[in-house]
Amino acid sequence: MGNEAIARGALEAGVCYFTAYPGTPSTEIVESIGEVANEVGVIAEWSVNEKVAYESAYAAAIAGVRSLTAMKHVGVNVAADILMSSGYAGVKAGFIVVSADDPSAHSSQNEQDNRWYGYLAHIPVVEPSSVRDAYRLIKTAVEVSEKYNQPVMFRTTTRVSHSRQYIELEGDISASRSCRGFFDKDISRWVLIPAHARRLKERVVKLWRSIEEAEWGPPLAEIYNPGKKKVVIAPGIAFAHVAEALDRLSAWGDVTVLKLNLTAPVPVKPVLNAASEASEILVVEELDPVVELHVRAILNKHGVRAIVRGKDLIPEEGELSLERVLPGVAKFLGRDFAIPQTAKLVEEARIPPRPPVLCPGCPHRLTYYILKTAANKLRLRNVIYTGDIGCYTLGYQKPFETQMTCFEMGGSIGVAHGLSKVVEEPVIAVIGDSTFFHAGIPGSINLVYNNGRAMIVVLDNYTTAMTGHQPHPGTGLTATGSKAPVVELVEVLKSIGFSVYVINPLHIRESLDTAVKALEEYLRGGRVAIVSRMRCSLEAARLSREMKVSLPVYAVDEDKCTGCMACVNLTACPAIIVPENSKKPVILEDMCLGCGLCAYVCPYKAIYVKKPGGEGWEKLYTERTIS
Amino acid sequence: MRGVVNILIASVGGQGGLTLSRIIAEASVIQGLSVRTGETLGMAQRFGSVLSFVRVGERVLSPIFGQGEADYLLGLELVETLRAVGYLRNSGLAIAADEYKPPVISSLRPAPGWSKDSVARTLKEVLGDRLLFIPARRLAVKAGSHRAINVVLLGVLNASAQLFTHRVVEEAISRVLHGKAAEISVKAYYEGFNLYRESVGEGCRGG
Repeated sequence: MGNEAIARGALEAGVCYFTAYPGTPSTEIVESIGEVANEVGVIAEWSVNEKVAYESAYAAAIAGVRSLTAMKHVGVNVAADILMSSGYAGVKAGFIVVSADDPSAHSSQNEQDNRWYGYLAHIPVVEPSSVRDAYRLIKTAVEVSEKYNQPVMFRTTTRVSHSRQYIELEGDISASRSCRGFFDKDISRWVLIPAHARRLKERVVKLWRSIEEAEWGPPLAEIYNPGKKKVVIAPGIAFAHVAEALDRLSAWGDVTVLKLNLTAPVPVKPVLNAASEASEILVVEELDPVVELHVRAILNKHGVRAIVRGKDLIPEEGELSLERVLPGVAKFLGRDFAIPQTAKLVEEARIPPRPPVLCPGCPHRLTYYILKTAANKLRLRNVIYTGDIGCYTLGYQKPFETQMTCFEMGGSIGVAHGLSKVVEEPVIAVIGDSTFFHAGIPGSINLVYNNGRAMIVVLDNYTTAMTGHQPHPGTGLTATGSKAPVVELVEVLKSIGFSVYVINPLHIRESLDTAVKALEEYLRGGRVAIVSRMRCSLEAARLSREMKVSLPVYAVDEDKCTGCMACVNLTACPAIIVPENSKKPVILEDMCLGCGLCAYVCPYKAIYVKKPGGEGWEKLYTERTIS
Repeated sequence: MRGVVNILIASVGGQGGLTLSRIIAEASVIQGLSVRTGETLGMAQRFGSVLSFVRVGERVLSPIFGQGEADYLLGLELVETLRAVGYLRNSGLAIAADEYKPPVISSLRPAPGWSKDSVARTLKEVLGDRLLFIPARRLAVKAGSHRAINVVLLGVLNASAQLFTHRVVEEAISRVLHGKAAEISVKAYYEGFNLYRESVGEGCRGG
């Protein structure tokens, strides 16, 4: 996998210190380092957020220890403050920030193109074209970083990070690395007061020019078939699609191709060399016309008269694929090509949509049910639920509708505060545990300080679930699997000034009573937070298999069931289906994880425990640490 | 082998689509073939539609492919198989597990044409003899667990495409899965392979 290739390459390059906050498609880089960190003698950390991840790894690099921090594209926004400063101050050892971008926003709130950050912060951007490139170029990136004493951004996209390919290892992981650093108290460099910053800016501008003008060749800039009138410039993953398109069109002989893996700054000489005989140039790149604009500027500055094509032929939104690149390349080359014949397409109405949903047994389903029912009991209509980033975002769907905003990490609380200042309705911020640690704490303090009128609900499922179950400061475990002190989020909320109600949503009736009390206090003007504690059901199911303690399985008693569909409509659980030609639902045994919500909501007591859970099964859901 | 074989795996998050793509990728490597896979992780994994792209051949560059480009569509679930038929070439073959997991929405807001029978019927209408229905759950359970449905389809695929030797597949399974899961998967693979051979009557290439 691309991310594993980056991890391996970085180890070979002597990187000692790895930090990250999990985020698709970047997670597996530090996750895979965590598995071997103790063995190979490096440090791997899940940081509390990307800003801290960046700061920690950057600190190692200013103390002369090679380091890497990895984050998804929107994570870089969180780290942008220190990113900008690091561009001024530079480094004393190789330092890489991996930005794993997500074109098509497969698992993100947007598809921003982070190559712009390279230009903004004067940090070179290296962009691999394949898994093998990722493995090789991460080592080159460390060299570039050390040559210029500057951080380097290693920008991947989903189809590099989450692609698999066979690579032959070309190096060893040195056993004798020294991960000890020395902090040189060079105050004029590390203290960015205005006077120092202005001087450092001069360094950065000079540095940027020297990188632009340097003699770049392979592996960061490689020209195939030089001297043609038609030139294709293909940075990053776009090269894979271009190469395949040229294979398909048998057109390699007709064009000069510049495979470009340094995309900030766009190096001048390779562009001029590739364009030496060019009359027309096509830049094929994913997302924004970053390289295209710079190629235009370079040609213009050097008086090269060639027509530059790019986003007029290649889509600017969404991820590229061969099928999206081929028509543009063919048109550029004046070639006809046959659009592949597709099977007779099926009308969409005949295919039920399948958006992601909350899993069977998901604690969020229980908590959402409890929250909404408690609000109903108090006749609270029009509650506004602000939302956040995690599996629980899926609560935007019916029947829950307990996520009405979702912008960025930690946003639920700041947005709830602001809304509470200008609207009459009750406002409830719903945020996950890992997200609360990430960016929810400043918002919570602000809410209390500025007397906001919003309530906070923290969904504590003892893990960072969406990205594949990484530990966080509340779990008592680290990235390498060793024990850590538990940062108790209930105590954090109390110390900020909240009156905290803790519920175990597996006990629905009891939780409902508690939630009503919490809401009553909130309505009386109290500063209230609810912490809902129950383990992610996918984790509970894994523990159940490992420890051979089965979870309960529910079933519908057909005689008692009237077909009212309360269980279907109130839970939207994927384990409950209504078979064809039947008016009564059934529970799929091999999917049920025993949360019992369907049985609770059934007005006819028609849902019963068919297979009781094994001894102590409840602990799998409720105990923070299971040994 | 000729050119590149494009395989699309259509599944519901949690069904083992990604595991199957990893096994095929490992098998390709052991067999000495070039391979690229493209996967989407994260939110889609929560019981949503998941597509995994696998490309095997002598020279493979791009990790994904487009509509009308799949030689094989491995459908771990009927609705997802139907959703993905546009990816199949005119000459392509769909290998569909006879497995129906109705999306939550079809219970919340039922609509005509969403039942198992109508989905299966539509698949047959659209694909005709380019569709193989596989009783994958029955064969997987026979091998030891319903979780091995994915590997049953690998057996059918390999009997049809003849990409890998049995030994290579066994080795690939043992690299991706461990212990009992690996044992069951090897059995499930042979169940799928034999089903195809018995019904279509072609042999496997070599040892």
